[in-house]
Amino acid sequence: MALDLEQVRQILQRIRQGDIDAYAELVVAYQSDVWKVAAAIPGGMREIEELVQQTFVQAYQQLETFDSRRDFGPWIKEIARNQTRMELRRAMRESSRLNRYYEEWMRDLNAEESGNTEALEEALRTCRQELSEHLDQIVAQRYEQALSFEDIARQIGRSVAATRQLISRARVALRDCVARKGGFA
Amino acid sequence: MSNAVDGLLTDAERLELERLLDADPEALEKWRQLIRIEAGLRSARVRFPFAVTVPQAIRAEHERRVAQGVLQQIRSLPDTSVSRSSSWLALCEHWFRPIRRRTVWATGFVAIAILSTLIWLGSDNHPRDLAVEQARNLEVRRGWWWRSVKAGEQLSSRWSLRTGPLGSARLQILSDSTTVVLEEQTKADFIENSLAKQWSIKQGRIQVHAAHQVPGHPIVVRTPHGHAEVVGTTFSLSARPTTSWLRVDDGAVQWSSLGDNRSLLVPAGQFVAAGHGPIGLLMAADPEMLRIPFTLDLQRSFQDGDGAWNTDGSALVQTKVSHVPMTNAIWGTPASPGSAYVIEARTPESIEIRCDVEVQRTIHDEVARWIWPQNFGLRFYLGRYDFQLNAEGGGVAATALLKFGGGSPKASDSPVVIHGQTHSSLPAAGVGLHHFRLQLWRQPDGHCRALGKVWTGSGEPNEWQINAEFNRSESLTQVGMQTVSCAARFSQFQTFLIESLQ
Repeated sequence: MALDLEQVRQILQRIRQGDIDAYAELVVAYQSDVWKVAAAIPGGMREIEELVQQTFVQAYQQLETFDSRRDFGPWIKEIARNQTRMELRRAMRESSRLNRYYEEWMRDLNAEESGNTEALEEALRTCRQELSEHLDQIVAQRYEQALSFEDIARQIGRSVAATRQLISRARVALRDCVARKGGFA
Repeated sequence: MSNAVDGLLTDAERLELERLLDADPEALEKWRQLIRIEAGLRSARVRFPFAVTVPQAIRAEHERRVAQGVLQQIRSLPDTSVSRSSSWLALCEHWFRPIRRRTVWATGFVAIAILSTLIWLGSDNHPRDLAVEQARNLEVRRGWWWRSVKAGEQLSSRWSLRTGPLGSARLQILSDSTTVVLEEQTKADFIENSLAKQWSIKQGRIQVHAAHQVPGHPIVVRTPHGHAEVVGTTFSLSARPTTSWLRVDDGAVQWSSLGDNRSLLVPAGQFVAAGHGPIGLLMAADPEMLRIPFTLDLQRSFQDGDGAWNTDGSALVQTKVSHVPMTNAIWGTPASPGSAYVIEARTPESIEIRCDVEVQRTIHDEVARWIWPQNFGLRFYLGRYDFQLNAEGGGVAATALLKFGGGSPKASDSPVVIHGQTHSSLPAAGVGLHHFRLQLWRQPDGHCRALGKVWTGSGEPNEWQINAEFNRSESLTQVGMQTVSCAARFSQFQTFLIESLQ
């Protein structure tokens, strides 16, 4: 739940007066926006949570540069994007295996910056409803609950390879559907 | 392409994919679309790390937890004042812009260290959150130094606390009169802010007598294995290397395990232990003692020589399985597969081994008994302790010896008896099924107690036939067993870490 300019201004005022706890209100209000950006990094929930925390700590250190006449949301998201880019670069340095993947993701982060992801999100939402219930459930387990392939395989009683195949099939089906609906425009 | 998204390509496959993407614009377009789908799915993770069905309260709790983590990090910054930190940064940037980045970082680090010291020196005026009611061998860390604390002092929540050997402390949280007792050799941090009151127990044991808590502002006690959220109750929580123990005396505590992400409401009179990996979350049936089973995969790496083997758990890691050749010990009589193995375990301090041994053949009449004078025995290796239960065949007599050898166990080792007891109550061992129990307890101060029994038939004797106390300061790093002077097969082999609340 985003805060309005006045609420943010008051919180900043309290922080300047030494009430560090007030910053928690900003963290609670804007962390879902940051989560959304940080979800791009490799790794699981723990890594994402660390990056979210890191983003807010970084933002705290730069609070003096924040123009309180502007919305706090885009500002914190920009910091999150920078942190995420750094994390992706670090991952690319560590392993070249996923370089191509991360490069594209970096492009996607930049695209998000210019604000053209809404069409994709909308198309994706619609297309998920067109998946079979079984596939949609597996997609939810993989992406909403962040389960590993092994955990999903255990839950649905299939082999890990078969589970990967199902997720791959779901992704391809979603890609074709989103393309049909113009979500990549 | 899909495998590439999941990072499952080999190097050769990756190169092939890259060639395809460089050569085929259509493939490149499909690849980019796939990536955007993956990004869309990941970032649409309901903007939160939970499934949609998670109750609002849990979601809010998570939001608070993240916020609390941020505050904790901010508090550990060299200067948490926004205006001062930014002006310092600006000043540093102005001074050091022409210098190489690495030098700037190094200088910055030194500056932060100096600043931290200055802050520490002047930080005696923080609000006090804890009153020290009783203190014995209690220390508090302010900045980088530890100093001892006396009863009657009041402490800030930002400081770390520890008790030494024979130390203890009773503290009162001033905001709600909750009493917390730190027992000996306990390390803990306490943080109180507008979101929660949080104790982090790194080691040792605390007891909490919690006052009724304001809804949404509970006391949270964390250990490396989980956390307990307190509404108003009496309980004790111990953080150990492998597990954390919770004993609830009054009220109820919500206990969440990091090992398997499970949560459990523990009512009064119950005990629960949590650990990483296979331990997960265990209700302890016995309030005095918890047996944590760990399974030995004897099919794996069970070869002559050493093999590497790891279980999933971080605490119960077996690092080596060795097959000890038996030909020397049995003088040419081949032992059955599985009749000897040595498993090195990393951390078990107190352990129980239960096993059945089916003696297939004794060789009393066949060999000169120059290695061990008994014709049937079982040796347990516990670190450098060679704990040997022997039962003489032929129905003549039985002995049980506690011996200490050194180095890796080999069939040709000659154990040195440091402490031994002889019992006449052990059953005579011959061909047939024998049951063994062994417990070895080791206290942090090196005080050890070994308990052992062996019997045949169905009735397990109540008394321990071996009950020996001794002192050894070395850690127990090895668990193993082998038959001596006989051909035998192990079965029902079970190993447990044993922990006691006492």
